[in-house]
Amino acid sequence: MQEHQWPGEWLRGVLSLCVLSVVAEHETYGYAVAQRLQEAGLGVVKGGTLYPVLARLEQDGLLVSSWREGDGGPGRKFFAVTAAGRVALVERARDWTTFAERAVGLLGLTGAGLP
Amino acid sequence: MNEGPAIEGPGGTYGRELLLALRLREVPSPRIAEALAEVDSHVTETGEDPVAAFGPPHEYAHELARALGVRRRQEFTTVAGVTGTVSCGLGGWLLADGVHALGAGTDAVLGLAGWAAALIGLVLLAYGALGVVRLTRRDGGARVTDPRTGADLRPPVPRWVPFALVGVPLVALVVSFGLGLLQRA
Repeated sequence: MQEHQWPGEWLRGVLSLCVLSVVAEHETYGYAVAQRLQEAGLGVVKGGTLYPVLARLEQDGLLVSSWREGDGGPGRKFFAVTAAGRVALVERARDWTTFAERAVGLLGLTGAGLP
Repeated sequence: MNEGPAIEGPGGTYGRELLLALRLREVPSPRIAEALAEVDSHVTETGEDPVAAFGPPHEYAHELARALGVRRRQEFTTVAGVTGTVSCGLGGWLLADGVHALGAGTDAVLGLAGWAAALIGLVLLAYGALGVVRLTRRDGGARVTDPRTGADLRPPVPRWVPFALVGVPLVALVVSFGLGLLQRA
């Protein structure tokens, strides 16, 4: 599978929302989130990019974290979505989708060659 | 697959540098501990080199501090830090001068008796030192504790440091006294 590296500034715009949505699926930990994002075709998200996003989401009360025993390794930090997180996810996903649709709409109008 | 702990345990080179960089950015100690444990846990699981996964320690510290919105409380820290340092410097100098005067049998600075200058110096020194120590106790103190194991993540202080911190000033005071004695002769 060809690994596409998207422009950093695009990913920066939507990463927090995507991370929140992945954690909202079910409780998970950092490395698993990165794998999920990669599976979804968003490219490789390094720890140095991912963990600050998780930290910010937690600080804003949208996630909570807890350390659990790993399988024979050091503990893993698990993240779970909060009620406030679910509310924020719905709102932001809706807003993001509207925004993206408008951008695509403009590209269509201005002859960017979109179908 | 990697042979050992990826960052030589949380106290290894990357962890050490990250701890320092986060301290410099005034990130609270408990949060520093979380960051060190996260990095250790992540690179152990993925087998990545910490610099490849998180970037150079100072850059990652910058990113994390920015994401957390850590404000550097410069004003309070600077004033308290300067006051403490000035007090230590002035106190130390007065103490040395007083001890020297005791040795030489003369007056110390400003016509103070040797013992008086030494005493005032000692008080100023203690005040300054306590002030600086209090600064390190803010934000849950200086302890950085691994959230997984409770272990102290700070690099160990070399054995000779406490001896040097007490011994060097003590030797200096004795020399000061001795130089005063020599002046009598």
